Amino acid sequence: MMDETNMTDEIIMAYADGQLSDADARKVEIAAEADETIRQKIRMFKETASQLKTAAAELPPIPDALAERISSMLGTDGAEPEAPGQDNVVRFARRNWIRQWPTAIAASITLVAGLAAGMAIGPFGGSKINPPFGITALADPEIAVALSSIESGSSAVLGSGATLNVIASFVDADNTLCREFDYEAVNGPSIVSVACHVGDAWHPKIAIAANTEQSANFAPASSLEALETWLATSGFGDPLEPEEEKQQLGGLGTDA
Amino acid sequence: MPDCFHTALTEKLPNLRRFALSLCRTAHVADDLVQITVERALVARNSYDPASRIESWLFRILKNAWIDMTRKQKVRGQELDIHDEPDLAGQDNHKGDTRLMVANVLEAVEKLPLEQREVVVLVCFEELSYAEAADILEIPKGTIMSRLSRARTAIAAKTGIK
Repeated sequence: MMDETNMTDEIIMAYADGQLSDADARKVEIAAEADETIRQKIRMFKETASQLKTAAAELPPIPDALAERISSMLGTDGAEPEAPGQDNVVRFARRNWIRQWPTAIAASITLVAGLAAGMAIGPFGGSKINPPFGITALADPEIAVALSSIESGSSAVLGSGATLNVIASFVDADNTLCREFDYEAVNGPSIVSVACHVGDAWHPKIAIAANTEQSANFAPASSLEALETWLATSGFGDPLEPEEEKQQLGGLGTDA
Repeated sequence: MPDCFHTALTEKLPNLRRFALSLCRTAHVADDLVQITVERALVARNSYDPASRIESWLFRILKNAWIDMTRKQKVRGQELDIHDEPDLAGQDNHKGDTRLMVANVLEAVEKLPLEQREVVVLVCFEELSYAEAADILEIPKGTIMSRLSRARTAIAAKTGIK
């Protein structure tokens, strides 16, 4: 339908709905100033939009039977719990990293778990004489600095030349922040560890260490499965989402 | 930790069902459509672009599910009159003039041809843009505007809106 100024109903409606560009909207306004028919149509389209919006305000309820069917489907859905609007780098990074890790290191695995309290990474705890785990590499103070600052899925090259890859963050049942990381020394052991931030220091809770001195070029999958099992049975939830991790790191203060 | 994808999906169930009802007008078919949509969404969750509105993605899945249904001729002849469908006829807790107007508007929507009804639901009920509705229904934006203007002109005529 066209009016005398060649303004179609579609254009007038789009104006009423606010979906025209400023320039096109101005054309409609100029035409409307001289044409009551256009003004009447603008009112009509605005009023229908308003009435339809009112009518839409109350959504029909979901029938119980349908709700139960949907709930059952969601309950058996085996997909990963990831937020649709968020990056899934944390969860993916951890699993992906663990797949990649064994290929570069040797088969000699040392698994240390259930470490005593008071043994901290770097110079921030009570372990300045005896390095954590008895592994000198974890005495590097820059590990603690990196653990307190970089996001999961990213890496930091330390002053020693070693690389620290932070794999994921978790909180335990006491809401203590814990981080899984991989430490690659230039010459020496590679270590996958989980450390928790208690009393302004990072305390390792478990470490899987592999040295590169032996000839084999793979680590048994069982060693990493042990880490996964430990994570699953130690009261940790799923890896933190990026925003949650950011908040947790922000709450650590400046203690490194 | 709750699955945010599940949460977002669950929150949109009433909107999905309303869109389904606008397409098929039959409660149990609409319920099936919603269920199929959820099933397909769970399978295809990795294809969802988090930068886009999840309802647009879900409506597109539902629309395609409806097309599949009609192609299979499973639901032919099952359309019901709006007066037999309490879900769209409005709830009893509307009062006075508002209730009357809501009922009139919903009835006018129900009497629209399907091709106009689905556009009204997406744009006026779900407040999607013309472009988003065009993307969901896989028709040109100009066609969306044409159908929508005819639909609203008809609704205005039937409900006394001037």
